[in-house]
This record gives sequence, C-alpha cells and structure tokens, in this order.
Amino acid sequence: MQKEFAFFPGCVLTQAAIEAKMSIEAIAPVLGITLKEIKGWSCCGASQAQDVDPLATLVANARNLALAEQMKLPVLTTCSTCLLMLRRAKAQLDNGQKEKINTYLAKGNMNYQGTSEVTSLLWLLAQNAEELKSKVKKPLSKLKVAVFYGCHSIRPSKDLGFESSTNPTSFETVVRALGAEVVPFTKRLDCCGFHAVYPAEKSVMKMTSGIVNSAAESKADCVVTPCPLCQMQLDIYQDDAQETTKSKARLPVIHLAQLVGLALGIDAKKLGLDYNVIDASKIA
Amino acid sequence: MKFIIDRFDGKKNYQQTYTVEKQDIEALTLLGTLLFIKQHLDLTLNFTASCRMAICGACGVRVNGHAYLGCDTKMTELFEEYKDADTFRISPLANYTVLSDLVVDWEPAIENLRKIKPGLVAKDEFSEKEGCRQNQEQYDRIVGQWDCILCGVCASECNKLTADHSDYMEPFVFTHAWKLANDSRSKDPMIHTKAAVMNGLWNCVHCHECTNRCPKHISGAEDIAGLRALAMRKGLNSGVGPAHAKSFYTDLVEDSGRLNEIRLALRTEGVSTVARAGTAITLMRAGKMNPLEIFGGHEIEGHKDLVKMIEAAKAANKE
Amino acid sequence: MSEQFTRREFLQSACITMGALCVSTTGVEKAFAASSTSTNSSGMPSCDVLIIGTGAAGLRAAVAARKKNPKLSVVVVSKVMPSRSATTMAEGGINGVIDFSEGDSFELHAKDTVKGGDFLVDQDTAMKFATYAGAAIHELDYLGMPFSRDSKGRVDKRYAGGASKIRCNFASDKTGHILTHTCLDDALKHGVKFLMDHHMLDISIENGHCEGVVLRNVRTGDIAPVRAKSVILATGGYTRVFWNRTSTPYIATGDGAAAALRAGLTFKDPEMLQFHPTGVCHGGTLITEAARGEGGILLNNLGERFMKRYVPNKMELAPRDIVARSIEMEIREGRGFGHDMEAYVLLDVTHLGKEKIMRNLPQIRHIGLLFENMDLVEKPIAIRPTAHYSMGGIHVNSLDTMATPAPGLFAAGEAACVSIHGANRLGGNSLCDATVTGKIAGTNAAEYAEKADFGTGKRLNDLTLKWISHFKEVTGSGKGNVNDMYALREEMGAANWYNMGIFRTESKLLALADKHAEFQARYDALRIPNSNPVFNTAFTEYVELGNLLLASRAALMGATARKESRGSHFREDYLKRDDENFLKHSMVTMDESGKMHLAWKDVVVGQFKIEERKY
Repeated sequence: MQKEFAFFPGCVLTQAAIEAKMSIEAIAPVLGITLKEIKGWSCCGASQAQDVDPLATLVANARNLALAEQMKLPVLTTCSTCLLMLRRAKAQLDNGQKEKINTYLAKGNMNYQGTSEVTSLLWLLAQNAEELKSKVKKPLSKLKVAVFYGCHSIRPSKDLGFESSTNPTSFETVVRALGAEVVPFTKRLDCCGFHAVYPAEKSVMKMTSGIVNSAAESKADCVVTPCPLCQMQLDIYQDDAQETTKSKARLPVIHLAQLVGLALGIDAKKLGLDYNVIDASKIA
Repeated sequence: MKFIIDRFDGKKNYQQTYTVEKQDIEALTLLGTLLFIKQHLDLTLNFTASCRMAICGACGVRVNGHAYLGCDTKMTELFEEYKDADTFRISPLANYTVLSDLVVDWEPAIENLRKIKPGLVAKDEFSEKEGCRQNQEQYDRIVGQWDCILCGVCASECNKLTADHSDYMEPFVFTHAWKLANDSRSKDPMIHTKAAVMNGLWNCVHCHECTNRCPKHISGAEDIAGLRALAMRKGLNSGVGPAHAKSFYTDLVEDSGRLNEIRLALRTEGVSTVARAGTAITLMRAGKMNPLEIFGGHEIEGHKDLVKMIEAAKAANKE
Repeated sequence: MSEQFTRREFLQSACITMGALCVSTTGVEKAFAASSTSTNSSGMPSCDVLIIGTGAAGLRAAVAARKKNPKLSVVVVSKVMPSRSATTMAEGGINGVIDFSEGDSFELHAKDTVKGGDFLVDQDTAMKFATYAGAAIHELDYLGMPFSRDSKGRVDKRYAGGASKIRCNFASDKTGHILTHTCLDDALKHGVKFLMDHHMLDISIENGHCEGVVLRNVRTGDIAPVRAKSVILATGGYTRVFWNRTSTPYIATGDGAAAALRAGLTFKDPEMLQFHPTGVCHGGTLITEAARGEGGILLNNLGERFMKRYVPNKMELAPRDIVARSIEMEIREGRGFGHDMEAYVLLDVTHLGKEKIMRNLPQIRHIGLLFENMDLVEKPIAIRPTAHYSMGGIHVNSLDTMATPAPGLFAAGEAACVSIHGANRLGGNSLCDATVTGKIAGTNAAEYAEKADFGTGKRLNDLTLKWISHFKEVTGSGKGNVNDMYALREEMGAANWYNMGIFRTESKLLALADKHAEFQARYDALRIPNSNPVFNTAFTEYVELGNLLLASRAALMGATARKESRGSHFREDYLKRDDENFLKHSMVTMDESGKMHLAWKDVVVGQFKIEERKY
C-alpha cells in the first residue's frame, strides 16, 4: 500500500465537515498512512466555479496538482467532488491542455508535469481491504450500514473509472472488512442533491428525504458515505428534508473515515462524532 | 437464465419472468434478446426498435435500474458488468410516462425540444443561397452534441427529473440548446441560452448520470455547464443558481482562494435568506462553522500567484 | 404558434373535430367534439395537409407546406417517434453540385445519375433534380446542418460510386442522422405538429380523389378515419421484403406503396431493388460506400483487389449494382470466405489510418465492433451485399409536383418513384432525393389544399369499419402460435433473397410465385394471439408483413416480365439490356379482387444518349 500522500482536504473539511478531517487524520496513523497536507491548496471549483469560468477552474486545479508534484507524492482526497474536479483537470491537462495551461502557471513560477495520480480514501481502502481487516480492533458486527456512494465517487466513469458505475463494489468491500453488515439499499447510487440545494431546493429536499427513508426502510442503523458533501446534505439538511416530505425517519449519517475509526477502536470524540448533526453517538 | 420484465398492459403493472437458455442469447445484443423473447416466447411483449445499429435511438430500456441503448449493448457486456448474474430485470426508461411494457411516451420531450428554439438562426453574412462557412475548430466544437440520437437514456437516469420534472427538462434538450448556442454560424446564441435558463438550466444537480450513460459519449452535464458559463458571460446572471456558482468563483479568485460557507449562503440568497440562517445556526451550534470566517478567512499561501495565473489565462483568451 | 404544445392543442390546431359519423374516438378527441370547422361537414377528424412519415422527405414536406401557407393545418403522422427513420441510417453523404471549379456541373450530375440508373431514368427529371440538389445543400447548411468542412470552411465532399466528379457532400459518416435532426429541428421551429405512434392502414380514393387515410392509434388501438385535403406519402422503401438481408430499419415495410396498390394506384418499377455491396456479414447493416470513397479496397480470399477483373477503370467506386454483382461472383466462384449465408469478402480500410477513420468513418467502425466484434482500424471487415434501397415506388406524375394521378395524393422520397434513379441509384442521391422531393411535395400539397374541398368520407368510413373488424378477427380468436408470423416473415425474406436477389432467372422467379401464393394463403389464415388494443406491436408487425407480401408480389411481377438485365435487375437468362423492348417503366396495379396487372410506360429520353453502360 502506498503510505504517503499529498493530502487535498477540500474546503468543506476545513469548515462544515471538520469532523471528516478529524477522522481521516485520526485513522491515518493507525493504518500507517502519512497525509501531508498540500500547502496553499485552493478550492477545486466544486463543480460550480466552472459555470462561471471553466478555464480559471482548470488553472486552479493545475496549480493544485503541481503543488502535489512538488511534494513528489500522489494526491489523496476524501471529498468526491474534489476527486472528480482534480481527476478531470488531470485528464484535460494530460490530453492536450498541459502546454497552454503551463504558460499561465509560469506566472507564479509553477509547472504541471502529470506525475501525481489522484486517488480517494475509499479507493485506497478498497484496494487494501485485507490489510484494513487485519487492523480492525472492534469489528462492527452489530452494525447495519446503508452505503451511499455519492455521484462523484463513481460518475462519470470517463473521469473516475475505478470501478463499474452501475454495479460498484468498493464501498461494500470496505464496510464488510470492518465487520459491519451492508443492508440492501435501493438508493445507494442516487444523488443527494447537494450541488443544487440553493437553486432547486424543493427537488433536493425530496431527494435527500428519499435517500434517508430508503435507508431507514432497509433497517439500517446509519448511512455512511465517503463524500463529505453528501454527508453534509444528508445530515445537516435531514430535518428540513424530512419535514418537507412529512417523514418521521431520522438516521445518523457518518463519514467513511468515522466508520473506519470506530472499527479501529478510536475514540468517538477523536472522530468528531459529536459534530454530526443527527445524533450519531449510539453507533459508537 | 431469467429475465424479469416490468410490464404494463394499459391498465395494470406487473412483472413477468421469462426463462431462456444462456446459449441462445449470449451472442446477441440486449435488443436481440428482447426480439428473441418476443418472437419465441411472448409476442405480447411490447418495445420499440428500428435501426438496430445505434443511430435511431428507439430501443432504450433499463437493465437492473440503469438505462442502456438495447442495440448498442452486447449481452456479454452485461454479463461482465453484473458479474455472475443469472437474472436481469428489464424496465422501461424512467422519467417518461410508460405507454405499454417497455414503450414510453416521447411527446412531452419533443415539446421540450421546442422550448429551446430549435433550428439555427444563421448570421447575416450567410444566406440560404450560398450556405455558411465554418472552420474545423468551430465544427469540432459542436459535432459531438450533434451525435445525440434522442434515445432518452440520459433523461431516464436524471436525478433531477425523477425528483421533479416540472421545473426541468431532459438533459438532451440542454445538449440541443448548447449545440445551437455554441455554433459559430449562429447569429445569437442567447436565443437558445435564454430559453434554457427559463426552463431550468440552473436546476441540474450535477449527478452526472447523463454524462455517464450516454451511448454516444455526450456529456449533458458539461453542455449544461457550457450554457451556464455562456449565460453568465452574457450577463444573464440573476437568480439563485448563478449567484451560487459565482460565489465559489469569487472565493477562489477574489477572496481567500477557498470557499467560505457562510458567505456562500449570503451571496447565494442575499440577506433575505431567513430559511438558510437556521442551517447556519445549526452548523455553528454543532461547532462546524466559524462565525468569524464571515469577515474573510485566511488567505491561502500563494493566492496572489494563483490570481496572476488566472488573470494570465483570462488575458490570453480574450485576445 | 404556441410553445407549450399539447396533444390537446394539436387536435385543436389540426381542426380535428369529431361527430356522429366517426366510428371510433379517443377520450381526448371526444373532448373536442364540440369544436367543428366550417369546411368539414362530415364530422370526421380532418386537417389540410396530412403527411405520413417522418424521414427527411416527410419533415421537409411539412416545413414546405407550412411555409407555403402558414394558415393551413399540417400534421405529420408517424408509426414511431419522428427521428427513428431510415434516413437517419444513411451514412455516406448527399450529392449536389456546389463547386464548379473542377468542371463539375448540374448536367454532369444528371448524366451520371442517368447512366448510373442504366438509362431507366426520366432524363428531364434527372436534370431538374440535379439543379435542385445543388441548391438543397446550401439550404441545409443555412438551416444549421453541420457538414464536415474543407480547409476553406466550405462543405466537404468525397467520391461516391458512379460519379465522374467529387460531389458527395458529407457530415462524417452520419450524414443521414445529421440531416434527420437538422430537418426535425427545422420542423419543430416551424411549428409542425406530430401525431406519433399512429400507423397508416389505408388510403381512401373516392371518385378518383384522395379523401384521407385510415389511422390506427397504436397507443390506444383506436382505428379512425382522418380526412385531409391533401395527403403526402413519405413512408420510405420496402427493402424489408428481404427481411434479414437488408440494411434498412425494421420499419421500412412499404406501408405507403402497399396502401397505394390497394387504393388502385400504380406501383412503378417495383422490381428495381438496390443491393448495396457492403453490408456487414452478420445482419446486413450498412458499411457506407464512403468507406470506399475514402480509399477502402475490396479483397477476395487470394488477397486480390478483384474489382480489377470487373471494372478496372473505376475499381471499388463502380456503381453499386456492379460492385454487388462482382462480390457475389467472387463468392460464387470460390474466391470468397465462409459458406452459404455466412459467405463474405473483405473490405479493407486499415491503410487509411486511425485518425482518418476516426474522423470520417467513426460510425462504421462502431458497426464493426457491434456486429462483427472487430476493429476495422486494425483489420479488414467481412462484408456481403445487402438490400438497401427501393428505386421503385408510388408512381407520381412529375418532379414538378410529386402528385400522383389521384388528385390530393402526393408521394415523396423513397416511397415515391419519380424515376430519378431508374434501375440503380447512385450513392449520395437518396438523401437529396428525400430533401428535394419532400419539399416539392409539401409545397404542392399545400397549394392543392388551399383550393380543394374535403371529400364525403364515405369510402373512408367503410375502410375504417373494415379495419376495425379485421383487427378483431385477427387478434380476437385466441388462436395462433407465438412464432407463426415471425417464421413466415423469415421464410418470405429468405425466399425473396434466393429467388429475387442479385441473380435472377425465370425458373427461380416462377418458383417464387408459387411461394408467394403459399405465403399469402398462410398470411390470410394467420391469427395473432394478442387481443389487447393498447400498443399491440404484434398487430403492427402483422400489418407490415401484409404490406411486404404485397410489395414482394409486385416486385416479382416486374422482375418476371422484365426479360433483360438492367441496373440492379440482373437476369442470368437475359444478360443484355434490351432497350428495344424494355426502355420502359413497369407499372403494376392491383384490382379489387387482389389480382395484379402490369402495364408499361416509356422512359423519358432527353439530352443524354442511350448507350452501353461502361465504366
């Protein structure tokens, strides 16, 4: 297993999903992974800024990747949207845009070469599921988990391509390695709606509520997701969403790193479980 | 092996299971399998098909919940995708009204196509008598979108349409708007762009299902982004959607280089964002948001260089 | 024109009214029973111009009719969604002279067309056609059709078989698809209304005038008359008579030609069916002529470019009939690969290089991957001739109007026979035929409708009642096996292919006549075990098969009588063209008893000398 990464937290880990940062930083040393945060990383554009200026977004991500290259390390992120934006930028750069964009990067004395790959926490763990299993101290054998992939960890395949987007298995593999039970969950590949929560609020609340209800119907104890944006959407907006659709179900929504941390026997406090909006304490 | 097909006879919905020998269908396409079932097991099964070479778009259906173009999908590909499955569930495209079995109603989608003002309005320098001129680069910009065969696969998978189709349109409709707006021969791209904005352009949820499933490798999501950027550039930037996108951009370029979530809410919805204030308070209570960040977060290291780079890119592309 | 088009509005705008005479009504139509129009007193649903078919011809006709008179109600009926047509499958390009710098001219285009058609072309028509074709290219470009471009930004063009100059304008190898969507966009822009999922069952001719059609609403199963002042048949060809050995879509079942026959109209040159040289070995889908236009070569099992044996001057770019026969000859003489229905020769484009293939021939690469499981960037593809186009069709008086001899009835595109293509169509001439004839038909149908009155609708009503009881009889008995109809269809296709395919002889044709009689008897006894009126696709297929059998019989009648070899009609027992006896169009009609009759009509000869056809 690659042990050292240029860590790209993404904006949301510094603010609203602070517990995602806490938990990934808590599990890394236990798994023997060193995360070196990229100094001076910028917002990836969040699949939003490109609607204003696609070129500016590409430049910003070329710079992010170049910063990682200076560290001579592959990039790891846990936010699926950051993952998609960085990987798409890399694909664009490696397929013809590199030269042009490098002339802009030169204004800040930087250069993109294409030497750093971009991966996610989910993929890394799935690739090393056996090793992960061997490090589990507290198997989550009583926990029923609804795994929620989130769009940008699987779609579009042309940019992500780690696994089948219609029949992915990485998340199940990881959760099972932790000893938890994966429940059948019809909306596991759906969209939480996060990126349109402002312009299409009504629809998004319906989507969010549908996911929570679907997980509840499968008798899950919690929803777990690799993406802090999905987590935010399903957790922070859950009350609103459930009120909108007049649904009773409430379910804790936790980050992948939090779930891993629990299985590794890390203290719930260190995993930031008390920061989750829907009470997640009973999972610990 | 078994095929469970979702059926509708005009009055009631039901599922019907057909058992076929794997060897009879493994060399076929998905459409070939449907034809096999119809012609050997049950001629009451209804679906549509015409060209069987992936150009007419008639035979889109869902397998295990995901849309495929029937004639463009080999059974061997499905066997590989759904490892070891000996049962497949076949359903009509989602987000359409089902007329019968696997047949859906295209009328509303055709009417949506009308909304984006289809048909090129050519620049004045061109004429019906002498046609137009277009260079290779300009042609390359639109030719991908012209591959759209109106198969409906993107629309079937669209999460936004599933949630509510009343304020949104099929992704391919936006692709059609973009192919016209982005055409160098077009007199006024805003004819199509404005119509797209008025019909839900900003309501895309970025789920990328359209991009992912399109048998012609068209990215509906990117076409939507293209239309949005064009709309913004042309000053069509009022409303929540544009403000939301703009705030990311502002944070990236003009402010700290990173997103500030409180400012995001304020910039997106303005001071009247009473509803969202509740969310912000929830976040602050949970300790997730630093209220001080509203006065500007810490600027990232090297932000001035980033701004220089972006400005260089902007300048280069203005020329 | 309202932007928010609903079915309701369609009915309104199409002046559809319902009344006492109407035999069948849907709920929506009933809702409009109250709104009647002054000109139509029968109470039947009606519109001014009714177009059947949504390929390029139908779509161009609709726009032309609306442009001619925006006050007219124009409705386009299709048994499918508008863009599922055969047009969309056309690949190679669209002929039309727009560049005169290398000595090309409308006259040369016409001359090539006449010669390509082995002089069974009406020469005055060909000349006009070539002129209109040139104008059509610019018009399509102006409408937004994204043609591939040359280095100066002009419409790009490539060689097509049988052409003396480069004049096949193209959009990658998806020209038909691109054209379809250009035309569909234009139709939507002009407020054309569609009535999709409606199958035309019959045309009604009363006192010599067309008074409307019988439509089956596939969605509900309702069979109803629709009156129209003018009707345009743009229903495409009938090459599905060879069922599985054709490049055309499942829906190309000659519905228009068969309905015309039943209505007493003339089916002209029905024996003239084109075999395209390069269909994929498995399934017969098309590998465009453009593959050879771009430089692709044909190889036999000795690795020879065998076309040097047949047409050394033109090689692979000889006209389709000649190349198709050459391939079959190679196979027959043991220089092909494989056996029987699996026999083939090779088409090699590998030397063009990946970049050129990906730019100009991406669709056929995809077809190779899909049907033959191979990448033609890397190796040659197995091909064999496949039925491709119907030169024959519904007889129309002239290219000036595209009107049939029955006032009010027009035909356009592949469904029509205005004798542009004669005995063999040149590659690139079909798309401009559809575009040009569609427009002419639309304009003239509108002009006619402006002055015409509705018919009484009496015969139309009788026909409708007949179809309603026919549906009940065929589907309501509870009898019939699942596979009966499909087996019959397969047998018909194979019998037509073996006996009326590329090589024809008297004995094979006579044997086929017996077969046809047997097929017709089996068809008449056929029962469909599905009585559900809602979207009964089996019944649609049943009607289509009946149409194909009629078209087969008409084609056989022409093929048997034409004791010569001309263009795609090749008689091994009459190897030579016989201008003395057969410089004539075969004109097939059917009487009320179902018996077919044959007459002849002289070909119009003009400035191009009738001579031996050599390349």
